[in-house]
Amino acid sequence: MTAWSCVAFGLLIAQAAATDAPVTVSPAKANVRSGGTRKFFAQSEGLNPKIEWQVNGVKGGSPSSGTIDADGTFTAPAVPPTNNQIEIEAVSVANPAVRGKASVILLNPMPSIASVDPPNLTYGGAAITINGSGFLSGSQVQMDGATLGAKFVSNTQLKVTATVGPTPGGRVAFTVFNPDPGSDTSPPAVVAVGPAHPKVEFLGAARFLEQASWGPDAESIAHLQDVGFEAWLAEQFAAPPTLYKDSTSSADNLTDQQSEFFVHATMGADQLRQRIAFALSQIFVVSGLKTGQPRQMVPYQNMLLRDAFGSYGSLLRDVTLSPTMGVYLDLVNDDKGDPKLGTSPNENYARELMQLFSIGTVGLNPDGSETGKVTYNQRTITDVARALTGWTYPGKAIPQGHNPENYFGPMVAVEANHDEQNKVIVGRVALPAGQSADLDLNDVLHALATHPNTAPFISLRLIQHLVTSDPSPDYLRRVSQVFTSSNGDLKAVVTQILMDPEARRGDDAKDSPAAKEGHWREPVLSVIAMLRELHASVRADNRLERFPTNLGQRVFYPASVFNDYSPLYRTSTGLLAPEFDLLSSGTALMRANVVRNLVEKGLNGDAQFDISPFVALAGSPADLVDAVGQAFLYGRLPATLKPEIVTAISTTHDYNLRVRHAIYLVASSALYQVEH
Amino acid sequence: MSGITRRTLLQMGAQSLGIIGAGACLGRLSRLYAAVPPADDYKALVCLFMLGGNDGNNLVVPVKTDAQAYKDYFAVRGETLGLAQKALGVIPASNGKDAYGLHPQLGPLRALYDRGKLAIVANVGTLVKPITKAEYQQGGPVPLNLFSHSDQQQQWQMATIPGAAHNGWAGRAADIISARNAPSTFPVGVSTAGNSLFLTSEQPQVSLINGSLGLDGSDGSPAANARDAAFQQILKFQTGMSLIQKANRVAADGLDAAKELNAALSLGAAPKRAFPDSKLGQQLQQVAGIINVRKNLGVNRQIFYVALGDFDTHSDAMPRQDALLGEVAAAMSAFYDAAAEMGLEKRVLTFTESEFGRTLQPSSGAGSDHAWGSHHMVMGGAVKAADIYGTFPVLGLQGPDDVTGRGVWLPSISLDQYGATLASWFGVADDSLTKVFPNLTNFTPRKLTFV
Repeated sequence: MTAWSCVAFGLLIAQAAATDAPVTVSPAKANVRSGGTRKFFAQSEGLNPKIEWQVNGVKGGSPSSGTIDADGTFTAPAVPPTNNQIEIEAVSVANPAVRGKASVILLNPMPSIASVDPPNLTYGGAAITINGSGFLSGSQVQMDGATLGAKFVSNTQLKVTATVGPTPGGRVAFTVFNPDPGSDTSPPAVVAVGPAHPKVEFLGAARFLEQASWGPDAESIAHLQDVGFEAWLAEQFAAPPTLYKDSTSSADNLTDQQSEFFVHATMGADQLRQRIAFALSQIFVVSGLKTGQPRQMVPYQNMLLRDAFGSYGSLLRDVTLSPTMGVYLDLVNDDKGDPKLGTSPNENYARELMQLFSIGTVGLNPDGSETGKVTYNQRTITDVARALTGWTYPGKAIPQGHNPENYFGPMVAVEANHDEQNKVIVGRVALPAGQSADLDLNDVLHALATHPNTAPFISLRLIQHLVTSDPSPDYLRRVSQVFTSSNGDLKAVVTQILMDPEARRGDDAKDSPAAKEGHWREPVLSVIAMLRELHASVRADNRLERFPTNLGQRVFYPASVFNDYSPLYRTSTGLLAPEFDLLSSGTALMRANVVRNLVEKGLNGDAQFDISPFVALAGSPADLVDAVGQAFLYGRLPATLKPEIVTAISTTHDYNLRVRHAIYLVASSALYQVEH
Repeated sequence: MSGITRRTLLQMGAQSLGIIGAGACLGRLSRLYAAVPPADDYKALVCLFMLGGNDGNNLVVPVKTDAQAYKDYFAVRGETLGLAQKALGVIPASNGKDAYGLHPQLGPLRALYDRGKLAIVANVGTLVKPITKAEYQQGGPVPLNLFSHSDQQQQWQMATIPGAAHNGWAGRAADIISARNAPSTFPVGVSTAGNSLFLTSEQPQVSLINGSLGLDGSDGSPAANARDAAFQQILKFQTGMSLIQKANRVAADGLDAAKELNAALSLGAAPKRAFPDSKLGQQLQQVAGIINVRKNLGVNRQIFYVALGDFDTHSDAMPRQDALLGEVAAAMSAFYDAAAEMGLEKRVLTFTESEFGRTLQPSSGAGSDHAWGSHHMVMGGAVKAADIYGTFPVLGLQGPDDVTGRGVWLPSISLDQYGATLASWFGVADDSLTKVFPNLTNFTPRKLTFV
C-alpha cells in the first residue's frame, strides 16, 4: 500500500454524480498482495449513477485476475497472473459510456514458514521439506541467507536439497524469498544442525577442544564428534609441526614472530602441538626482554614445538643446552670459579633448573601434597652450578676459551672451563671428581628427571595450562603415575591429562560442574579462543599481541623466568588459580574492552570473520542468543541470563548490532572467560 | 625541574591524557592544580618494588667508616663488579663521622639526601626472628626458600606467617585504616603494576593499565545503554562456580572504582611537574595524578604500588644497574618534586622494596647471585634526618655477616621492623601493628627511627 492511497482512502466518499459526468475511481493506483483485499470507491460530479464493477472488463472479475463485489471490495487472486497489472473499472449501468478506472498491481504473497522437515539436520546433503504459506513457483529457499533454489509443490509446500555443514552456533536459519512483484522474505525458521552419528556429544567435543586446542570452532567440533577423542589425538600427534621461519636476524624485536604465533595458533592444523609448546614456553621460560632477537627466539620456540610430544628428559636436555636459554639464564660461557678474578660459577641456571623446570623447592608426593622436606639447599645450588660449568656457544670443539655467539644447535663443552672437583647434587647424588662437563650434565639431568618430585611438579603445571587450575589430588596422582611409568613421555602424559575422568566431567550438560572447576583463560588464550569460536582468519602481518599485552601477557616477553603469572598463585580464599595473578580491576575491564574491539573492529582489523550466520538469526533475538550461547558456551547459557541479553539486543533493529552486542555480552562474561 | 622545553611539556601532556581524562587540556592544568588547597589529614605510602633483587652492595658503598673502607669493598668486587671510588656520590652519615658513597646514577637522590629528605636503611631482610650466623648455619629458623625470587617477593609483599590468609601487608594496613576514608568507598590501594599481592586484602584494589581504568566509551544510544546495563547484570549472576564468582567480583569492583576515579579525574588535572619518559616515571606520574585529586575522591589515606623489573643482574650487571638506578633516581626525584608542589612533601612517603640483595662476590658473566639482606631507601619530607639507619654489614667474604661465603648478608633489620615503621607513620596504631606484621613480636625495637 502506498502512502498516497492511505491518504486518499480516508478522504473519499461515494456520491451521486451527474448522469453523464465522468466517474472517478479511487484510489486510482494501488498494490494488492495475493489473497489480500482492497476497497475501491466511485465518485461522479453528476447524479449518483448505479455502478457496476469490472476487472479487466469482466463484471465481478475472475479467479485468475481477482474478483470484486458490488460494494467495490477487490480480492486479489492467490497467485498473480503473468500480466500482474490489471484494471478495475466502475461502469454506469444506465450508460456504459460513463465509466472510470483504477490501475492495480498484483503483488506476490508474503511467504511464511510453519515448519521444516526434518526438524533437526545432520551434516551432509539432505532433502528438506518447507511447509508454510504464500509459496509460489518462483519462491526460493535460503539457508543463512544463501539461495538454495526450491521445488514448488504447492502454495503451502516447497522442497529443496541442501548441503549442511558445521556453522557457528550449530544452527541454520531457513527463509523463503518470493520474487517481484512485491518481493519479500519470510521470517527465519531456525533448525539445529549436527553430525549424524556423533561419537562425542557437542558439549563434550567443545570442552575437549578448549583443553586440547586453541579453542573449538564449528568445524573442529564436528570433526571431533565424527572421529572421537582417540582418533583426534592420534591425528594431532602425527601432524607435522608448524614452525617459525628460520631467521638469522639480530634485530632486537620479535614483531614477525609474534605475528606468526597468532597465525599458527588461530589457523594451524597442529593445534595440540601449538598449545603444548605454548604451555612449555611458560614453564621453561626464556624472555625477549633478554633474548629478544629472532636468531635467539626462533630456534628456542621451534625446539619446544619439536619436543612437545617427546620425552621430558630429552626436552630438559635440549632446554639446558639451548644457547638461547644459555644467554637468558647465564649458562653459556659460565666458567669454573676464577681465583684471580674472585668469581664463582653463575648460580642462575642451576637454581631455576631445579626450582622451576623440574622439582621445585619442597618435597612432593605423587598427588601434589607436600612431604614437609626441602628438596635442596644453597649448597646444592652451588654444587649443581659447578657441575654445569664449561658450556659455550655451538661451533667448533675447542680446548679452551669461548666460541663466538651462535644460536644454531646445542652448546658445546670446553673441558678447561669445567669445574672438575667432586660435587654433591640433588638427592645427595655424589659426582666424583674428574668427570667431564657432559658426564656431570647427564648426571644432573638424570637426577632431576627421575626425582620423585618431577612427575607431580610438571604434571600439575600441564594440567593447569590445559584443564583446571586446582586439580584434585587424585587427578594429579593419576597423571603423575603415567609420567613416571612412561619415563616422562609427554604424549602419554598429555593423553592422560585430557582423557582423565576429571577433565571429562562436565561433558554431560546434566552434570553440574564442581565449584572449583576450570581455569580463567590466560590473555593470549582468551584472544585466540574467541577468534576461533568465530572461525576468524588473521592477517599475516597482524599485531594481535597488543591485546594480550594490555591484559598482562606479552607473547615471547614474560616479565621474568617466573612467567607472567605463578602456577602457585592462590585467590584470597585459598584456591589455586594461576591466571588470577593477572586479574585486576584494570585487566578485568580491559578484557571486556578487548571483546568490544573484537566485535566492533575485528581487533583493529587484524581479524576477519563472518557474522552472517548470526545475522540470519537476528530477526529472532531469542534464536540469536541461543546460537551465540551455543557458539561460546556450548549450550550452557543459563536460562536466567538469556532474557537479559534478549532484552538488551532487542532495543535495536540493526541486525548487525544485535549480533555484535550478543557476542560481546556472552564472550565478555566470566561464564565464557572461565573455561569450565 | 628547569629547562623543560615546551615540546617536552606537550609530550608529557599527551602521555598523561589517559589519567587526566579526555576532557582535559593543557591550558587547564595549572589553574585547576593550583586550586587544590593543602590536605589536612592526608598521607600516602608509595612502595617502589625493584623486581629481581637489587644489588644493594652497589646502591651504597662504605667509603670511610669506623668499621671499614672502600678498599674492603673493592677487594671482593674488583673491576668486574666494583664501582670506582671517584665515581661515587659521597654522603655523610652518623653526624659526619662516616662517609658512604651512593651509586653514580643516584645523583638526584643524593641531592635529596643532602636536603635531609632521603634515608638509607641498611641491611634489611626477611627474618622469622633474630638469628645469629652460627644459628643460621645450624639450620635455625628462617623464612621459607631464602634466595628464591618468587618466595621472597611474596614475603616482602605479604610479611606473613605460615597458614595465614593470602594477603599483603599493605592490604592489611588498608583494612585497618580504611575507616579514615569514610564515607568515601574508593579503595585505599592503587597499583600501577598489575594485580599486587602487596595490596591484596578484604577490600578491592585499583589497578591501572597505562594510567586508565574503565570500560570503553559508549555512544549513549539506547542500544548501547541496554548493552551496558546487561553487562552489569551479568556480573551479578551467581553460578556457584568459585572462579566465575571471583572474576565477576573483581570486574564489578573495578566498575565501581572506575566510576569514582574517572569522575574525580575529570574534575582535577595532572600535576604540572614533568616526569621522565620511563616506565617508572610514567607510573609515578599516574600516582601523582591520583594524589592530586584526593579531595575529589574523598580519601585521606592511600597506598600505592609501583614496580620496575630486570634487577636480577646475574650477568652484565654494571651497565644494567646503571640504567635501572638512573631510571629510579630520575623518577623518584620528579615524584618528590610533584608532591612538594602539591604541598604534600611531608605527607607522601616513598620507600623501596626488593626480594633480596645480591652476593658481594661476582659470578661468572660479570654479575652476582641471589643473596639476602640489602639496603633500601625512604624518601619524603617526613624523614627524620638523612642518615644510614641500622648496622652496615662488614663487607668481606667469610666475614661476621656473611652466611654462605659469597657475601650474603644476615639481615640486621627485619622487613617487619622496616614496614612497621612505615605503617606506624601511616597511622596504624601501635597495638594494631602486629596485625599487619605478625612476626613483629619477635623483634626489638618494633619501630625504627627514620621517620
